[in-house]
Amino acid sequence: MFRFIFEREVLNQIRLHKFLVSTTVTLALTLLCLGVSSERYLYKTKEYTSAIQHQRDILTRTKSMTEASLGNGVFETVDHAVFRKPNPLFVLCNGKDDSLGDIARLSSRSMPLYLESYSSLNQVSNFDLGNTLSDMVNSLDFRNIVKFLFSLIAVFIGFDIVSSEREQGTLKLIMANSVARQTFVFAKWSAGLAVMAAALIFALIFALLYLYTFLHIGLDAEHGARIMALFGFSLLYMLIFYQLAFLASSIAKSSNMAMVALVIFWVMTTFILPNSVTMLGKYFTPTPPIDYIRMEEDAISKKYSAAMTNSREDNTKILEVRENIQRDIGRAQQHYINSLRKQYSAAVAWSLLSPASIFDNAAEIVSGTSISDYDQFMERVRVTNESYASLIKNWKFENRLFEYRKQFNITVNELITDASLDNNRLGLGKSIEKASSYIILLIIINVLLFCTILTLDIRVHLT
Amino acid sequence: MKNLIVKEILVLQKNVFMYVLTAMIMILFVVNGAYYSAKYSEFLSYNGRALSRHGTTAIYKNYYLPANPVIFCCDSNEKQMSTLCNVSPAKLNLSPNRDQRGNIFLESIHSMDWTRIVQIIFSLLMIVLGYSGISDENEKKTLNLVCSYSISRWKLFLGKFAGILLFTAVILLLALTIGLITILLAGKIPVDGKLLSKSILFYGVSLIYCSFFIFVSLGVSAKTRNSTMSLSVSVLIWVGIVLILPKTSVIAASHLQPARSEYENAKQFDRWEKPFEDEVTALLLKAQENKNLSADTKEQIIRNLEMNITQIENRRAEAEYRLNNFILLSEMTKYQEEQKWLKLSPAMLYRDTIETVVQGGNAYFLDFLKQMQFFEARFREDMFNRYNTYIARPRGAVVRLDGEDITIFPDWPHIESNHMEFKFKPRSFRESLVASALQISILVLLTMITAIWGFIGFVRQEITS
Repeated sequence: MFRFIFEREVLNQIRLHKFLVSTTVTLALTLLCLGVSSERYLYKTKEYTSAIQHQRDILTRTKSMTEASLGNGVFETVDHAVFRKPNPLFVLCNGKDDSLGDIARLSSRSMPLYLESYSSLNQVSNFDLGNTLSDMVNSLDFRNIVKFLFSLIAVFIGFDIVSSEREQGTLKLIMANSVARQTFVFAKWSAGLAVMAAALIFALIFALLYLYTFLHIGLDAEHGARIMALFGFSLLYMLIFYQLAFLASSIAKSSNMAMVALVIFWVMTTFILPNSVTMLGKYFTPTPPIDYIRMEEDAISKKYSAAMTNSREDNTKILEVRENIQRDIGRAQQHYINSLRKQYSAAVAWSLLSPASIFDNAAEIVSGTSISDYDQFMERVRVTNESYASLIKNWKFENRLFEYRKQFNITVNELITDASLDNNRLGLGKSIEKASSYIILLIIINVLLFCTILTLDIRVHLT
Repeated sequence: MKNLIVKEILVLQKNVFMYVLTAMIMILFVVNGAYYSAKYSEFLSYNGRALSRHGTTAIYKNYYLPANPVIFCCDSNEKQMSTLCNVSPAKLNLSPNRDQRGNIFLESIHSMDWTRIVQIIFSLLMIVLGYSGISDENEKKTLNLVCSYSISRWKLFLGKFAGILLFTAVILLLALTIGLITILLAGKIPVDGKLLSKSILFYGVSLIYCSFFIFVSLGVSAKTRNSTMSLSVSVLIWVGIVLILPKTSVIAASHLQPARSEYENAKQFDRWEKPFEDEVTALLLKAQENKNLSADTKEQIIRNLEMNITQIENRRAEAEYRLNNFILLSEMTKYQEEQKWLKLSPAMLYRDTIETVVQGGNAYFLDFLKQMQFFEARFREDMFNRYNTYIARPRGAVVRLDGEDITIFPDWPHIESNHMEFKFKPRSFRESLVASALQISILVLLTMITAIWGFIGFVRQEITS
């Protein structure tokens, strides 16, 4: 009996126009957005490769340099910057890669506060009028397609799954056939799930084929595992909407009631909550004004101006004062960044009210484009910057020996090239570990919904 | 007719979901008022500090985009907050200062302004109220009864529309009042006559937008067999209009009307100075070939070099100016191209209209930019008239003549501080109305076409008995 109901439901779903139309539109959109995302990824990769190649060339030239060949020229040095390797999964989930930047300019004085984007390498103006065209979806990638459209497909599959049988009067007939209620519910549930999973798998296969054949984006085994995890999250996320739809369809008087309630819920979770809770987060966890660092710098220079004028004659004293100023500015910067992070955490905590944000965070982490990956990179930058600063500090200006200068240049170049060549993102295990709380949250919601479905009496409103 | 409207309102007020959505809208308007009041005062204090910090030099002037009081109505992006416009005769440099652009960790999330609330939730409310308007009555056979009263169909259709519109008008009015009261209580944004008249305009344009969606839902309802089908189709249309079209039309614009990409700009920018550097190097090398020079010829060579380098420097400045303008222009054309395509989606057409009508968001920003460009052109002209050059000071060069290093540094006029000042004039109420007349008429036209489409569907519908 299970098999019979299951097969009938699957066939029913596939035959419906709304399913076909929505799936086709979603597939087309998936391919479109992959094209756009990959364009950006390929641009970043090109810039990254050429920057690294430049660094390597200079390193080789410096290594083979002899005192005679140097002439009256000077040693070349690479850009004193660490580059972040672009992540191929950026195409599927843009995450925070673009907004946080990819290039850290090293400084012997303080840790870089912000990263620059690849376009800054060519001095292209950062200003982009197009981006200020604000609408709700800022980047179209696979994650957003799942978040907005696949959840809607799940709603479309589920909203009349039980109520249509009730409205057509077939539910009475089935119930008369001495089918256990659980069998009926479970068969229906699995049929809907199978259709939903099939739509997602189709989209994913198409996406991967498109990436592989047309865009030539190479993915390795780890990426494969990450994509599988992304697929799992997407399914869990869609399952929430599907099970809710199932519930609504069983409880509501009519399919229409169920549908309206679900669409309102969908709008709430995907649009309204994630955006308005950010407003709440910003409102309740305010940060210092955006020019805080500038203000602090002014205050600090005012504070040390007397000490600076007093120690004008003494070189060691002036160095000491400068160090103090640097230390204070560093503290102010750290304070500012910490408060930004605090606001971000508050916004994330608020956004956990919406399953869409939970999915968002999980997808970002598992694709390696999240804030944790940014932190990982910043940690590498910090270590590199420290060694770089100590190298510069210990550089003896008096020592003009060729070998000394050559060795110094090689060390700096190697340091920066090594840091740029590193993967600088969280490993798969770490990513899964980071995302685990979100996964558990998604699973708990689903299990709760499933238990409610199983205990449900579908015969309400039957008479 | 009156009876029909009353009946429609009586039916609507039983809709539970209407209450849910209305409650949601009210909450959002309160949150919006509180949030934007805080943000506006932050803008104001920031702009004040920034202006006092960035003075003007002889050749550079800095301006910030002034804070806009209608920010709660259409907020474009936080980026605009820190838009520093650096004007010099050589170039108009427009850059959001990366160090001062708010919380970078939260950058990608947009906040809910009035336009967006109407754009998304009100349109959905229209679908929820209108989807069952005709098909439901047809299913319940009440349509047959109503028609037996010899009421013409257009009256029936209009009655349904008017009922829903009246309902919406009341909800929207309530929401706007609540929003304005919150803003008034927060006391940061000055609520004056100008702001109130802008709110009234917002109200009017929003009602046109809502009418469009009412006609869509009624039309779909008339064309489909049952209300479930009608609902599914209406929701799909809503998703397409609000969610998919705005995004895909931007992509379509960038592919069908390819504006210059970031990468192309990069290629253009990359090493643009090289030809000028090469030219100077060639000059110097040629000069260095002369040997055993007398003092007079040496002097003559140096004079020639100075003159040539001055010319090259001026040409370099000209090239830089052109390049900068070109990139700015290409960004603007790209934006306008996207705007054109965005009008395909009524949701974005609505947003665009509101921005022009109330002078907020991108319209405000573009106005600032255009006036800045105009000012920059005057500044440049003035500089050239007075000093016959665009640059404050050319770069020097070193030439080795007969084993002696000589620094070539052309005589340059002393550039005095320019007292030309720029004052941003926001458009007046009438000007923005005139500017948005076309957009409003397109919106009305679109609504009328939808109405006719819906009505024809209703006329051709078979009423089951």
